[in-house]
Amino acid sequence: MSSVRCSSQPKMARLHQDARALNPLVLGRGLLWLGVLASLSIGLIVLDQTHRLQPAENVASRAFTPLQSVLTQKTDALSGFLSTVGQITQLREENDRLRKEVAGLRLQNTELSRAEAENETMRAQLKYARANPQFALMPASVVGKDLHGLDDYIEIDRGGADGLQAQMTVLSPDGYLAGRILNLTEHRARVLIITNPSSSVAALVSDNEGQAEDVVDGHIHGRLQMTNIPQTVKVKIGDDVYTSGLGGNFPKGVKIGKIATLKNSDVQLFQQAEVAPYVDFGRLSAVEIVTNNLPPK
Amino acid sequence: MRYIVATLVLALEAALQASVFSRFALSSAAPQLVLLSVVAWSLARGPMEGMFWGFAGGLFYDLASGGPVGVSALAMLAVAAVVGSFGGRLFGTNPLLPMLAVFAATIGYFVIVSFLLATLHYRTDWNSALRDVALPTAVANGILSLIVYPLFAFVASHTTRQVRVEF
Repeated sequence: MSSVRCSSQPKMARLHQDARALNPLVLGRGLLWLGVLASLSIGLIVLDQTHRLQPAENVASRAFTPLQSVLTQKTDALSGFLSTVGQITQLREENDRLRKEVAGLRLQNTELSRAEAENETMRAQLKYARANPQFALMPASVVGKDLHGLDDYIEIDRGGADGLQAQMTVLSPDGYLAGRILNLTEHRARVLIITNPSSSVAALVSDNEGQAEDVVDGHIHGRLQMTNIPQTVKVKIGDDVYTSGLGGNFPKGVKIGKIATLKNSDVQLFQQAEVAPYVDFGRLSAVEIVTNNLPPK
Repeated sequence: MRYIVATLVLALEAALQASVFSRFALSSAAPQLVLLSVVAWSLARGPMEGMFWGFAGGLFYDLASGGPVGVSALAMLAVAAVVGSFGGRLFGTNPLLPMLAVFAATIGYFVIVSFLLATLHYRTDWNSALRDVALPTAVANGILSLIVYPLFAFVASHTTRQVRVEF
């Protein structure tokens, strides 16, 4: 086969190439090789399909498997990275879908929790109303509160139009003393809660031998204090404190809280106690107003 | 010496293709490195060498991938023969033409492989094979050919006889 130097003459080479492509001898040789290699391929396919290439495949496997194993190990990190990049659109869509699903579930969860809380509140209200038929109770929802200042209060969604009046006693749904209505509009009322420093509730605490009367005063930071408990009554931490009904501002026998700390000294005339209110004003969302126990004017 | 190097390169490519590149798919577009090399070499050096290396590369790939032996060899052989015949006409003209040739060759390769597999009673989903495998691979190979083909052409021009034509 003659060789033509054509690196400096590309056009010539192409012409030469086209000319050679038409050369029957060269064309025939190419087709011959094509036929040989194609026959070889088909032969290999036939042998493979009849499982006669197994020994050769085993040899090839011994050569390729360790190489492929090393290659796979060395490129694992890169493969993972590229795989993530390749799936980025899918991952983004999935992420969006999951976010929406989470948001929906959170909303559903919040609604369920609220429904459960409402249900619990109503059950407590019902239970208390059944146990205390002497009280005419009107339920109300807490719509506003300020518990962190010097003038703690809550606001409820009922007012004069609902038959409420100032000084009416306000209870938590489970019947603990919350406060009394301070002032009101047609559809709204402000409740002076018992932890307000302006609040004083005539109370009594009792032991096995007798009972002591005192006043529970509100204090900043949500505390209640009793400062004049007679020494004659042996008060213990954990004892319940009730309304005494004295003065008629509150009905008698409503639970206020329990003794949390006690200061008792022989040289003092009275014991002093800090009372933990039963009502958690931070979480209070509904109340009951006692409408048939107005204090005397 | 160059035959040994070329054989080793093809064997390494086949191993890479069967173990690594199959996992490097970006939206199913994993390049077929062996095919790309065979086509690029066929374009650069004509059908005769293209056929030889197509057969060898396909055979290596069959052995490395565990597929039916001879199928890729026959498919790459056919593709290399056709592409190599046009190589002279494409070489040195528009640089996009080799890319189109690689694209078409990749599609052709998968058509032939699918046909052979169907003939051998392998389950072949033509739609999926062409849409999800052949087309993305052809795109990936076409893009990579912009790098690979000039490289192969450079190597070919520095190792070849002065006339590239065999037919």
